[in-house]
Amino acid sequence: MSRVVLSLTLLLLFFLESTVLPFFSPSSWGLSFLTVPRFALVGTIFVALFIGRREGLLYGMILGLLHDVMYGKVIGVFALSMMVASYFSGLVFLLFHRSIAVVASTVILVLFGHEWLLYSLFRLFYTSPVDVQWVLTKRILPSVALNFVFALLVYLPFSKLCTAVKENKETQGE
Amino acid sequence: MSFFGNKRLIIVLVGLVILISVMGFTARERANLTWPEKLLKDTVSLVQGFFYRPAQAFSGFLEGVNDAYNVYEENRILKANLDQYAQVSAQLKQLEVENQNLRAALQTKNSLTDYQVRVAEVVSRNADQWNDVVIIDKGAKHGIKKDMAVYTATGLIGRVQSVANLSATVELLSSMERHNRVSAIILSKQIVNNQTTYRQINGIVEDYDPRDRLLIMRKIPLDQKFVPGEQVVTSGLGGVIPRGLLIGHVVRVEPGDYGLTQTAYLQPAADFTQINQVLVVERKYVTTPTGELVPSTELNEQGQLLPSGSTASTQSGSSNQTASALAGGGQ
Repeated sequence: MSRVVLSLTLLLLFFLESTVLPFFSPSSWGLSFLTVPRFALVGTIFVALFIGRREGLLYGMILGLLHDVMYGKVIGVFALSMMVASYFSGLVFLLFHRSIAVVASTVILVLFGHEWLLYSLFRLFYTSPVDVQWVLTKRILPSVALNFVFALLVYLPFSKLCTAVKENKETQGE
Repeated sequence: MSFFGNKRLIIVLVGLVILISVMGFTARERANLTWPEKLLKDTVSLVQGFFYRPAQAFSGFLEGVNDAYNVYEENRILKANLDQYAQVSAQLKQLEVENQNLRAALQTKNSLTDYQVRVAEVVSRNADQWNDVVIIDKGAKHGIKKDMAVYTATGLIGRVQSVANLSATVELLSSMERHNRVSAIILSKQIVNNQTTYRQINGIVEDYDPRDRLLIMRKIPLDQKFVPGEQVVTSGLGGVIPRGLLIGHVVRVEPGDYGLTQTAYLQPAADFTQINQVLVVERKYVTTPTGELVPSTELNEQGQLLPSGSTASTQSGSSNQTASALAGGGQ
């Protein structure tokens, strides 16, 4: 049951990204920077942190693939980037103890790394160059900030949901 | 030995190989979508519609509240404009009649401006800058075909990138990773020896500057003079997009890359941040890659000639557009 709720929540986040959020993006108010909501990614990072890195990898791949098929021309870019991002965030708890500071810094680092990976992947397919400094200050950093704030907001509900899923999984496994 | 024993590593490697080959395969220009893609796009866009409509209504409500504060000022300006409007529309009617008569005298059968329009609602918008696309709720079932021009009430916004059965993806002109180029003309007015002459200067809108949010129009002949403020419309020479759709106006002019042409920066007429309802244009006659003029009803949903046509085209529609747009720009 909790697994279904988790999957539906992630799907809902994916839908919100492209339907509701564009109306509230700062560029539609005439501001110069652009924040890209990556709420589904925030969700998969939490899944990787609280349930396990392989779960995160799977969810990341499925949502990334969905994003690619819906919006992308090249299929596989988001599948790869979200997969890698969630997997690496799952690795962190192998090294450190779970604490809010570790979770926060992981989320920031992974969000930044994900945007950076996307930038480098699209540079492969996109011919004319974009100024790195401009992309960094006007696109990547505002996006990381927005998604981090969102991550802080959903931290508690997500950790509860994920722990429920994990307990379910362990009781079934025994 | 231990390499083959490590099952997990093998799975990861095979997965990576599959992923990279899928990326390589889809990175090329594709004529049509596969059926799983179509199915997924149709289902997801159906669900997205449920989310987008209320969000749109809410945002519209907020805008309405905002507008209510400056109604007085706006009304005054609109009233002033309305006086001119009556005169301009009378003038337009007159010119239309004149145009029609002249056409009849010349016995021309069809023009670059013959087209029909289909209205579609936007169901979702991709928020990131790499693939700036919107998804609309009309697809192949409603007669939408690949490469058709898409515009809003204010101006051209892009072109249909791919078509599923009940939805279609529209690539916006503001997309950074885009493959469409639009053959355009600058409507230039020059005064020489107290005589006003109107000139149409060819060029191609082929890029977007995300910093200044301006479109870049290249390959404009060096000997043509134009000034900022002049309007730019589609030329219709590309073969798929009709003539006369407003793109924007010139903001500044620069010498081209090699000094042989000029480059103009255009302020787009359409607002790319708020797109709710779009119009998809179908031209009555479309130019094929071989240069024939065929009715658009003879094309399939990928914008290619049906097999019953005289020459089956293997080229995709958008490369056709590019090629003929280049030819048009060079004239």
